[in-house]
Amino acid sequence: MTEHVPLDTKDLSAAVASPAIKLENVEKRFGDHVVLKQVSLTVDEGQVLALIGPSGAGKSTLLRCINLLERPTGGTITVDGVTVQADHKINARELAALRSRVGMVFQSFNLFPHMTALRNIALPQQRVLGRSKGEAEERAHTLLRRVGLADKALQYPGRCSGGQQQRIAIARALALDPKVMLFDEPTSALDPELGLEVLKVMRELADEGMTMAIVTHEMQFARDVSDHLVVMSDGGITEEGDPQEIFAAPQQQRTRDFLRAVLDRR
Amino acid sequence: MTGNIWSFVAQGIFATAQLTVFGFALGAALGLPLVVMRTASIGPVRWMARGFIEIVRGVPLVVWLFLIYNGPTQFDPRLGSIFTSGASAIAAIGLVSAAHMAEIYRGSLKAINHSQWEAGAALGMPHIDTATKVIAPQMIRVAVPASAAYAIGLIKDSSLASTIGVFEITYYANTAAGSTSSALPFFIAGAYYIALTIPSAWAARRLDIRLRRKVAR
Repeated sequence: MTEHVPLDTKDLSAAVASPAIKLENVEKRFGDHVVLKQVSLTVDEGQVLALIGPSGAGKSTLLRCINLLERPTGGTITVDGVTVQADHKINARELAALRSRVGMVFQSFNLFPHMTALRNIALPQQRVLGRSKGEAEERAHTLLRRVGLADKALQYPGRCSGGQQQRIAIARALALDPKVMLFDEPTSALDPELGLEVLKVMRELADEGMTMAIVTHEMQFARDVSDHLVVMSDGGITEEGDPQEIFAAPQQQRTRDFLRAVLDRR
Repeated sequence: MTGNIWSFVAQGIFATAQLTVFGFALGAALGLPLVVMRTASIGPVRWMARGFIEIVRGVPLVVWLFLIYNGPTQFDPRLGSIFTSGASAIAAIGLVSAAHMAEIYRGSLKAINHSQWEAGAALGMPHIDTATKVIAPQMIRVAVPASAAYAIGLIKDSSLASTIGVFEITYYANTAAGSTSSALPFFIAGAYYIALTIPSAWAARRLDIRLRRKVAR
């Protein structure tokens, strides 16, 4: 019986935790072209979701629907209790409420090039949360230390490596105390070595219990760090479940093809 | 006598500088609301700005000078005390500069990657904050070389104000040439223009290099 205990506690915690992200029948179409076909998924608080699949599968579009950078054409999005329906006009207040709960990290970092690392992290806090300059910069210093870049506070992004820029971008998003963090191929623009330092920071975040949704091509990372794996293709979910199980024994032919293609490459 | 001509024409340097500085300042300021309208999402606002820019740029500066200097007094001669030659010249240069600067701003705006807007949005920053704190400062840096080139061009174009009787370099040169029956005053005028433009171009280049160094990408 003892071997069932960990399973039971996991089920119990899953029942108690409310979903941090809940997508119901999310659809995105550009004219006749359907990019997302009625996608539904749930990420519980403290869970790490990895989204994998071939390019053009709709992974990034789905992720960008969560904070409404992409406006879904159908369905419902709930983040930390704030619900937005696609068929209603989304007002500025809903948008602000939703975005204040979601931090996002982009493939191309998107730091503000005319500001130091410190200002990049402090400015949004001042503007969005109304923190004082002193307070915001103190928090910025703390976060820079946390991502291992305490000495880069006064450096402009252009003087930092890609890995450093991405870690600054993570600190900038964390500074707003989000409930959920979205990562859109955070290491795809980086050399493998520089990607590692970013993945290390992400792993620490996951260990600290941050709810995360990650679009990635780093299969090893997806397998090791995520709690839930979603495989997408052609705008829909092909397969989802426990990462270890899917990597070990994918149920769908489409998943097998994809995993063979990416894993054989290494 | 030659020395006298040098100092005679030199009397216009200050007016030339004034026309350029005030005309450009007016254009740089008015260009901002104009580019906001020109890139607005509301169609009629955008068309109005576009029409304005096309008309202003389509008419030569010298025609604007005559129109602004002579036009209002046709309706009411008393307006002549407002539309003096100096004020009319600054208004005309400002008007034409506004249209050109709006287009320079628009080009710089396009040069800023859309992902910068997206980053602001994802952080939940109000649109106006992203525009003023993120986009505008980068835009200004991109706009500096083209704006500086335009301003330096204005130093020379301001010579057209001599046609409505503004006492600037070309006006004095023309007057001196008339009384001495010699082309020398124009050589002197040319020398003064070069003396104004070359240091300005150098300063603009320094400014550009300094700004670039800060945002080395």
